[in-house]
Amino acid sequence: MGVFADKATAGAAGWPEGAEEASHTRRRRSRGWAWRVAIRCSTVFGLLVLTTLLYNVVNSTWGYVVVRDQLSDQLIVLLERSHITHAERRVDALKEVAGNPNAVVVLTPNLVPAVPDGYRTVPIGDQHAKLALIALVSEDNEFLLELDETLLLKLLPEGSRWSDLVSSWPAESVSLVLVVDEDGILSRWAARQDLPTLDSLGAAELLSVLETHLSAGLIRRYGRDEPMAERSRANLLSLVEERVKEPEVLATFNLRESLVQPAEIKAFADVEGAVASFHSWLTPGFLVRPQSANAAISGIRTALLGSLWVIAITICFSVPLGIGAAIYLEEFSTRNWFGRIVETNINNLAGVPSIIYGMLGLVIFVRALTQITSGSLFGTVSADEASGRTILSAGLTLGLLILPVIIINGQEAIRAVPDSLREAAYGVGCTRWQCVRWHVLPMAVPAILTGAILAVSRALGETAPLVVIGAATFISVDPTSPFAKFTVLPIQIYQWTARPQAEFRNIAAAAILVLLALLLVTNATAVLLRNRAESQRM
Amino acid sequence: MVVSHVNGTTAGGGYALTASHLQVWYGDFHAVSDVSLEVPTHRITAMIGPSGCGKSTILRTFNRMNDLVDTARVEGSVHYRGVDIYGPDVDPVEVRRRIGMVFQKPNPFPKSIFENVAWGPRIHGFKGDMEQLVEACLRRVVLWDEVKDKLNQSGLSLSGGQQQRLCIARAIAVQPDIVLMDEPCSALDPIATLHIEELMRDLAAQYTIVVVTHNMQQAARVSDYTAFFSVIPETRTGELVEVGPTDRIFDSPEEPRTNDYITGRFG
Repeated sequence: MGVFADKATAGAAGWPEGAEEASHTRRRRSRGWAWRVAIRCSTVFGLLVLTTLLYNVVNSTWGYVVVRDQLSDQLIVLLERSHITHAERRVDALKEVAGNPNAVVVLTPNLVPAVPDGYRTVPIGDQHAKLALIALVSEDNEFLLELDETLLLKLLPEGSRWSDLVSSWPAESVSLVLVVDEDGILSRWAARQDLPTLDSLGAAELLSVLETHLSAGLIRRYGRDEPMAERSRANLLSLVEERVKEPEVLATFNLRESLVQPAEIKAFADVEGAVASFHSWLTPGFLVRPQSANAAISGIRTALLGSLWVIAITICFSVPLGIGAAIYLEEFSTRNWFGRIVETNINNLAGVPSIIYGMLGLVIFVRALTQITSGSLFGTVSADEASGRTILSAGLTLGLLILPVIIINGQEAIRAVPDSLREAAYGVGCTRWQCVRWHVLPMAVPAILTGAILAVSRALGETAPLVVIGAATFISVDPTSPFAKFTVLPIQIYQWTARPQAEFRNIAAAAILVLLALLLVTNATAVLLRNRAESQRM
Repeated sequence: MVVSHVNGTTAGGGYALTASHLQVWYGDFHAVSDVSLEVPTHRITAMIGPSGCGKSTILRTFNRMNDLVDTARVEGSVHYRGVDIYGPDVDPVEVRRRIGMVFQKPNPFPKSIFENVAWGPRIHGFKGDMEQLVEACLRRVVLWDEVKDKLNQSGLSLSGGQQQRLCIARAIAVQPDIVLMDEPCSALDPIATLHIEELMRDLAAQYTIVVVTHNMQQAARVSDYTAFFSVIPETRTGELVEVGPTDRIFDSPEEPRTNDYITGRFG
């Protein structure tokens, strides 16, 4: 029943009445309600998907990481401050000292399943189960029957002689070999000794550490980049951290695991003889470090710079061209069949898969225009080693990719300028260009900018065409010109996720966050520019 | 409002515009057929008629505004100062500078009031005292006292009637001979309409004015000459039915269709 008793249509044929009218109204309302629920559901679903994406990225970017150094700080200092030779895991190498009664090899029992010929074992007393150490001595050595930690410590300093320990023993100097183990027992043994920290070592000592542990060839290579003697202490320290400590990531845990079960993670680290620490994969250092094969010390500097270079070229190429084409199509060309074909083509081009643009770029920019894109025409490289797989090629290819989108957006923006404004301008006798320059463009610029920045954001995240163009998989040199080899963030992320080691997925997540931040900055710039352009308009 | 209507053909000034055998097409659509019309100098000529009769279209052919419509095609000639403005050597930019236009909906530039008036002279290379020129134009349209303290504010901040007067100031700033007005009061309230009508009478001393209007009373009030347009129902093509001094058109029209229209029997 309707609420109102009388109405104008009472009795008139064709109008619903009474209960029929009430149910009709109810049906209309419920249909509206159903649509509202559907729309709200789709919004919630979209938000949910976005949240899941962010959650996944953030989840992988922070969390516990269990790291075991190849050589602990203390062990490095111990080796540096004593005359000990450091042999890495290879029991075979010990054969050099076989038959030398003055040689003592200290290692963990698991490394000597069977005692080699010419040796006998001497247990080191006062052992905890976890700190089991064993000494191998030559069979020619008849006096060393038992060794405890006190005696071992006395053997450490350079030039120590057997007679320093027990006067009846020979006055020969001891040759001590420490075999680095994989489970960290030696490291922990070293940690119990009273030794200075690695950070407290001076530049000279750090240099000597490097010379001890690195091959001569590697030292020479580093010397070519920058002479070792001229390097700063911090630089040497980071080299030691990277090359001598050689931190090895045993396991990484995501944020959720780290928050829910920190105790289990710590226990796992203890069993493995490693250290569990809460680690942020996204650090300021991550932004400025170059690529490395080691995830823990790898950064995105080259990819970030590559992305910025490429996108700068893309903007310089496609934005002026796209806006120019949009102006021409909207304001100058006459609408005939040719114009319609052009417009249809542009619309279609906007939907072409990006990889096709990659192939186009490969043929045109990388191959046909090698002389220009490699810079050999401008004398930056010789013609023989010219390669078109450069930043310039990538930027131009991405520019082609987003050109149709910019044109379409520009056309929309220009079309949205009311004709009354154009008539007003033509009415006082201006030329077409004056009308465009002083009235249409100022009015359309905010919308044009929005469209252009959205297109540029797309280019920033584009991967497929650059893979075809041939972005470098590994480069550690900063790109310094448009003619440089390059890699970009999405490609870097793609490569890292494809690696088998878990920790690369963590830095991939961190890189994704950087890319997201970069997109956010680009979009924020667009909004700022647009607001400024809008406020300048009266 | 009392206006002095002029009897006879012209008041000595000759014709500012002579259109002969004008025809306009939009694509395949024949919008207006065969219009021949003379616009007397320093008089107000009103164009009236029902919707779709082509009066606005004809008005827009007078300063080649139809050039902006891709599909529009104009045949016939419009002579201005002895030159056919559709002739091959004529630049429409020059035409529009001498034959200005005011539109149905007030359309000031989204710029300052000052800039609205100054922009036209500037693009035409005016090198004189711009402030003086702007002031003179705004005084001419009786807007100066209302806006002199806010010349830097947006032209869009004014009321509808003020905006339309600003548009007229903008049109006369480039010193045209003729001002075409396309239903200049249809978006305004009665008071603003009255202001504009007074202004038109005032401007007629200096400019030739052609005004398109839906409002027959307005045509009767302000115009010296009236052209009545009608539409051929079968083809929806507009045509000129009758033209003459306003008094005569309204008192004793020659054509029955004119009579029907002005007495309200057909619209």
